[in-house]
Amino acid sequence: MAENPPVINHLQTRPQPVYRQDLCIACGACVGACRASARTLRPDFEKARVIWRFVPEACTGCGRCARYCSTGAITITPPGHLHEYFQIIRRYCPTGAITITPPADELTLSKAVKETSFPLQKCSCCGNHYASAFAIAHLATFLPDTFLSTCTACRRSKTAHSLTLQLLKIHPPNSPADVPVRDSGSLFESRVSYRTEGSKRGRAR
Amino acid sequence: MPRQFIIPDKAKCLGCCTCLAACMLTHREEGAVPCPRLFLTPTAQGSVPLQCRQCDQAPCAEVCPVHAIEVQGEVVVLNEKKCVGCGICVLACPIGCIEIQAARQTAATGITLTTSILLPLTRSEQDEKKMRKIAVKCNMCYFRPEGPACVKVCPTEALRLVDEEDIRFWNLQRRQAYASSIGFQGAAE
Repeated sequence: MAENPPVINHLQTRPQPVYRQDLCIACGACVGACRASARTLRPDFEKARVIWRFVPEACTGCGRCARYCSTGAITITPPGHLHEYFQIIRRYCPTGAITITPPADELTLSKAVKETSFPLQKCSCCGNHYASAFAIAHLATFLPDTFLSTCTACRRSKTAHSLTLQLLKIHPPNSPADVPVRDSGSLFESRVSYRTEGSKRGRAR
Repeated sequence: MPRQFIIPDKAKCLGCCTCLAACMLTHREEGAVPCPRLFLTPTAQGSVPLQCRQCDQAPCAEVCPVHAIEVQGEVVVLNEKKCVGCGICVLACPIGCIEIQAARQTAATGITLTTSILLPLTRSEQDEKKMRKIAVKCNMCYFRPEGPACVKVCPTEALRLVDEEDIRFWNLQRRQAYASSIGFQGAAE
C-alpha cells in the first residue's frame, strides 16, 4: 500500500518572523542582520519611497532580525510542531506565568507582508532624498531636530563652514601669530556663497 | 570629562588628502576596513578634512541596534565584526562624519576589501550578494601608541589633537575677548 509521504511544509517547521508594519521605521537593521538575504530594502527615488521586501521561503528563522529590530516591529513565533510541546509546558506551570504566542500557520503566512513601501525624507538643504522619513521621525524623539533634517553631506559642509566662524574667535595656543586676521567682510561673503550654493543644487534637482 | 578629538585648521589645510591616505593605510595594516575615516569637505574658502568629534553622549552609540558602537575610555569605537550596516548611526551623527562603506571579506587573508564607496540606499542587486555594508568612523587610531596617523602626516600641521588643556585655553581666550569687548581693559593682556 503505497501512500504518499506526508508533505512537510518547511514554513511550519521553522520559527517564523511576524512583522508589524505600523511599528517599522525602515531603518534597515533587519536587512543587514539577515544572513539568508530574505529581506531587501531598495529605494525608488522617482516615487520618493523605499521598498521593503520579504521572501518567506528564503527565511531560515534564525531570529537575528527580531533581535536587532530597533522598534520591536519583528517578533519570532515558534514553529508548529514545537508549539504543541510549549502548550504542555504551559499546562504544567503552577502559576500560569507562561504565555505562548500562536504559531504561524499557512493562512497567516500567506497574509504576511511581503512587500511594502515607506516614504523617503528630503534634505532641507540640497533637496536629495537621503533616508526613510519614519527613521528620521524615530530619531527625532530623542535627538535634537537641528541636524536631522539635512543629509550627511550637508551636515559636513555646515560643520566645515562653522569652522570659519570658530577661526575668527579661537587662536591656537602654540602660534597665535600664525592665524590670519580676517575682517567681517570675508565672513559675510562666505556665508552668502554657502547659501546660494545650497539653493542652486536644490533647484537643479 | 571632555574627550580628545582632532580639529582641522581651515587656514592651513591645502586639501592634499595626505591625511586620508594615511588613515586608509593605517587601518589596512590593522586589518580594519581600508577606507579613510576623514571626509574632505569643500567650502567657499577652501577644503577642510572632517572627522568624528568623539561626542560625550555619542548619539551613534545610543541608536546602534546591535551595540557595535561603544565608548572605550576616551574614544567612541565601532566594532566592525558586530556592525550590520543598517546606517542608523549615519542619520544620528550631528556632523555627518560616519559613512556606510561596501566591503568584501576575503577568506584567505581575512582582510576586508573595500571596492567602492556606496551609500546604503544606492546599491545594485549584485553588489548586495557580494558585499557587506559596514559603517566607518574615526577611532582616533586607538590601537596606535603614537597617536592618530593623520595628525602625524599632515605637511602643514593643519590637523590638531585637541585635549582638555587646549579647551581650557580656548575658553579662557573667549572669556578674555568678551571681557575686553565690554570695556574691562586689563583682561586683554
